[in-house]
Amino acid sequence: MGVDLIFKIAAIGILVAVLNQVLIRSGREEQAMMTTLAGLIVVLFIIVQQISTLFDTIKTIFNL
Amino acid sequence: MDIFKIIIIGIVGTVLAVLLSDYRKDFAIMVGLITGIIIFLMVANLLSETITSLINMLKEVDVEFRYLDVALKIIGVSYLARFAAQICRDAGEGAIAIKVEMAAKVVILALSLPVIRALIQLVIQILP
Repeated sequence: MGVDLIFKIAAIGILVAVLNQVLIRSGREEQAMMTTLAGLIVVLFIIVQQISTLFDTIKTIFNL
Repeated sequence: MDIFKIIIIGIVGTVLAVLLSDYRKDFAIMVGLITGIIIFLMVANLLSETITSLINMLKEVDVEFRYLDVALKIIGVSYLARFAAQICRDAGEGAIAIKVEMAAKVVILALSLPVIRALIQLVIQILP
């Protein structure tokens, strides 16, 4: 928990952006799209776990 | 102090989101989302303790408890809806944000209906 999660997602984002540029320049458009998709899925996994934690916390705090 | 940590997390998250928004807008939104979640989770313990002590305080002076429960539920619903709506608005989807807020208003109205009914019954009792 903490800042490292933000860094992780930002790092994945930068990595995907760079890989996307490189792959498009070298003419592999399909692989560039696959890279984007993979990065998005990885980040979504992290985010969905955190959103579930957030919902559980709010449910217990405000006894919804 | 916890507040310095939260301020630094907010600034770092903002810088990273702005950096990413030039290249990939979707990842910038994710960074904003996770920053909001982390900040809330850092302050959640303190909030929980405060609410528990508030409830204990009210129990000591014998105030009717169930209306506080309704108020807490409404605060929770409105916080969650505002969180989601703000994320939608940041991503440029103002229409979805307005719909989320409208749904939250309906839920809040439904939650506060018992209180309104109690108020009306009280007024009817007082009136001759």
